[in-house]
Amino acid sequence: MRRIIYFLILLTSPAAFCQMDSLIRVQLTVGGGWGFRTSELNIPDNQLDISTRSPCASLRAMWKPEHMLSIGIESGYLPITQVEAKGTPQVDEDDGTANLSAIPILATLAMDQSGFEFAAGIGVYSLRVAGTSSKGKGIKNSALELGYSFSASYTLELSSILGLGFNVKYYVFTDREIAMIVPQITLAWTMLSY
Amino acid sequence: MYRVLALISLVLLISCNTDEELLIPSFGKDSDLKKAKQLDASVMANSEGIYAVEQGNITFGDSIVLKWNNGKPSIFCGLHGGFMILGAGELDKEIIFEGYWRFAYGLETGLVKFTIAENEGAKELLAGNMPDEIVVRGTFGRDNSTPLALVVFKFARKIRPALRTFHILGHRGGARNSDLHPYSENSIEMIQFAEHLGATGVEIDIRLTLDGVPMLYHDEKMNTRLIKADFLVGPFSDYTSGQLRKFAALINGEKIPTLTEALEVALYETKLTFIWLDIKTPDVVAKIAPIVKDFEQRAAQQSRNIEFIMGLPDEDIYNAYLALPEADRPKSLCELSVDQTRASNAIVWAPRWTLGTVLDDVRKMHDEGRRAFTWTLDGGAFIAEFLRDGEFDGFLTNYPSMVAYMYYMRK
Repeated sequence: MRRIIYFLILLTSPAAFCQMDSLIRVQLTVGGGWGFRTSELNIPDNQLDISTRSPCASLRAMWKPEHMLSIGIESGYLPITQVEAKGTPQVDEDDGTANLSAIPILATLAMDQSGFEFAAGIGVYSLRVAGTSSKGKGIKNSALELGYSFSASYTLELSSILGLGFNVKYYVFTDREIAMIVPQITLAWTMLSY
Repeated sequence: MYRVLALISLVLLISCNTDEELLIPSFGKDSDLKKAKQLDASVMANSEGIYAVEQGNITFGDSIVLKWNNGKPSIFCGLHGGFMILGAGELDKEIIFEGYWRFAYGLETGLVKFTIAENEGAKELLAGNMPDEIVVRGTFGRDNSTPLALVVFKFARKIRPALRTFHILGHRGGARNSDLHPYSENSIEMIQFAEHLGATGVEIDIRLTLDGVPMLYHDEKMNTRLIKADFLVGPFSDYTSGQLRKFAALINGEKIPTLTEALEVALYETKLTFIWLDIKTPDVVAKIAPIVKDFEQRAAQQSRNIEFIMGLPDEDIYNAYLALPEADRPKSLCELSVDQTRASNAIVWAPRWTLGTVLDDVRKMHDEGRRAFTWTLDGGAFIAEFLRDGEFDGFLTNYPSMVAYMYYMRK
């Protein structure tokens, strides 16, 4: 948690407001990669955590004014885990699997220079659980949870409006203490500049 | 911009997790109790009482209460809500006690080991007699370290008999998860443990699952405070009982119990005398009414002194209760006004403790043949004040050991 506070302090430093460009741009970045859960899942002994890695996607819209500090919103899709019930179910027990995924909705602050960018986001994760169930009614439920993220990236300009890059994101769900690291390839598109 | 960032930083700081974990000390394989013989009921009856603390009073206060609950001894202390969860037995003509002590208000804990020597009361106690003197000597330690600090308790007097039944009711089956006991709130294990904390009754929370099964669960949603299943999210009532039984566990690993399981344990495996059913949604009322009636009958058939009482905490649940045919209504406890207590013919009126001792209303309830409980009374000073100045018939508390100490110590 302290890391994000230090980063926010850094972002608010006068350097962040140095003038970089006379153009104000709105940039859309899409990313795809592979997510690795770095935290243990707190689950009962009779459950099997069968998936700690999965394909992830991200989508981010940033407003980039004339200085280093930019602001925007980020979303995406993060499959977190698939859990399978172990053993033969007893009479009063159901059986099956449950998949937990999240859609982040994060307000993001970023600072970039020479193609390198560091960003921090804070907001909510829309958690969704869905699964099969041996007694007819499948599992389907959702909830919101607070969380934050960090990312570091490098984007190579392909043209005045397109860039291709590499990005590493670190997502944290504060209540469940779930953490994921997601390396991904990104495509940046400057959809508007004025 | 600076203000926004400062606010975000503040929110992040506040949201920092400060989970606490309490060690539950244990002698494990070094326990002498494995070699000890079981004690007779007479030993329990004769040794129960108030003891003066001759040594160890800096930690445990000047006096302690030794109370046997369903065959197991507990000690309740005057300092920091201290208590000891013990086992006991006869070994080499002595009576031995082993277990752990801890403060209810805090995280300090450790092992304890006591003995009543043959010539200090054990001989008479084991013969079924009341000795002239009982001296309990032993040692206590910190955490799992070998207990080395000396402790001596001397029998001072018996617990004074009560003029009327007073109920010490453990909240959420005995105590909350935040009170850091070895068992989860609203679990079967906690209901069994509640007696050792000094409770004579428990309050349990009831919700319905998607398939209409009443189960013990406090919060509206699945969360990490109650459940060991990070992948289950959203409302509790959106899961079937089968899914909850297979996929979820309470925070200390226990299964989420059904109401029937909980009441069976309370009836057949404890000596608890009062079960307060705290209903969380109005749809629970009609669903559990026949279950509660069934358990009232089972208790009567067993001549078991136990009451199963349906709580009426809000207007919606109160109205759902009144909508039941009168013959189908189980006995109830009303948390609303005295008039609503009368209208629902509740046997207990239960005002919130912040209303004070409300002596006039409590006396009116007594005059009408009803009882009065207050909830949820946790602070030591308030417990003392309500015992001294009030006339309640019971307290709901997260610290049954503290209430037990103060109640049994009363003059």
